[in-house]
Amino acid sequence: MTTSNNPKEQEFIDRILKEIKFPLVKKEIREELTAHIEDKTREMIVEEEMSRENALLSAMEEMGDAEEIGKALNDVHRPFLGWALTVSRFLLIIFGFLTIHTLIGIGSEVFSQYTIGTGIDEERVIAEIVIDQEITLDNRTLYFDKAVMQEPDRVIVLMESTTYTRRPRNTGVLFDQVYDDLGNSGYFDLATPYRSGLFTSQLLLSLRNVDFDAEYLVLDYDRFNRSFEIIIPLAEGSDTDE
Amino acid sequence: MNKKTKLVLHISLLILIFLLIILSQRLFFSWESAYRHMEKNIFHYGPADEIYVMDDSNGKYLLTKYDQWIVSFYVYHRYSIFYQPGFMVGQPLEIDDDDMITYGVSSVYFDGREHLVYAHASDPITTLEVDLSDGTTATLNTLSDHLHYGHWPSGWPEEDHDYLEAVMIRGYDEAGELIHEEVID
Repeated sequence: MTTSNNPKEQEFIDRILKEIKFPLVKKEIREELTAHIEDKTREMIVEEEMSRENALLSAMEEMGDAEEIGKALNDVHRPFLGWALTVSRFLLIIFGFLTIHTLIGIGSEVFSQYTIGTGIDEERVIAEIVIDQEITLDNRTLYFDKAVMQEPDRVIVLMESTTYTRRPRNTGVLFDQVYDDLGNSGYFDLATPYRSGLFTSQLLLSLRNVDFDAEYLVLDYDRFNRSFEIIIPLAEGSDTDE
Repeated sequence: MNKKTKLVLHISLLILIFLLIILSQRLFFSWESAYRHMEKNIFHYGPADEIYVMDDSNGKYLLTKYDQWIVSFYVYHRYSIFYQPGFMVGQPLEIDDDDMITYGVSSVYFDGREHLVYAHASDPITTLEVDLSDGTTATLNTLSDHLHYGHWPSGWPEEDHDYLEAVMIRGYDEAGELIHEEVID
């Protein structure tokens, strides 16, 4: 930081700064002016062989009227622009931290938090039944991919939930009833996310104690005037097994 | 880079960041927008045609009626100016026209644990009363011709000897005649 103890120089700079309305740049301008006057003074001492006192006065005289310089500098450092830049810089720092926090949240959710296994034990799989059905539920699209029959009595339904609106937390789907053609019902009926993504999440519905003698399973959704049924032909899986 | 260019760059970045935060954290400027988002994208309910708002310091409880269902939801108040979708309070209540009174009971937080009773009363019932476990009786607030609600500080069951719950509900007609009463399970 360059400063000067010369009272005349201080007075000259103060008169310039008096014209500048944006306070946060005054310190910076004072340093620049002091450095500029010092350079000019040295130049005159060397080139004109003047005393330091005279060289300083000549340097300030050459710069012009202090008020005029101040007004010109004030035009460059306009208060509105100055304050706007200061506030925007401050907001960028605050929101920058919030963004990092948000991105970490999204990243952990997308890549790790809900990335859990499907629970499928490949060695015990009897058959895979293709469902390939798509259902639209308000803004959400549900794609029923396949059902995996696993010994001794388990059926795992794999599905996808997609929405392009403001990302809802990866919610599951609550079926009202899951039953088979033999009259069995009351299987566990909440499809929960096992892998979450930005817009699409993978869901699984794990059904235990399923009677494999049944020909088909029905996933029944009937809530709030929305309804659909997904029929899973277990007989196909049993045939494949045979 | 001059100051104007810098400022334009800062403002553009701020707008981008603002949008990213609002969209990813599901923030809305009004509680109703947050609620509408929630009912359509998470609970696949509604659009509710009647919504009653109950405030607490962290957000709002909403008692909603859609077709023959009554459901209570919670919407969070975030960062002073935003609202964020919350959760469904208790279970949906399906109005049965054969029942004189269809009611729901739930525990909620209005800056402290409270016992919430909400009910739909069929004609000719106009007023609902509940008996509380401390022996007092309270009249439910009437939200519309058929919807009623009330809530009381309740404490925790089994932990708090002041735990207060509704034990009986009664419906009266306009003349004050008792029309129906039943024990709350």
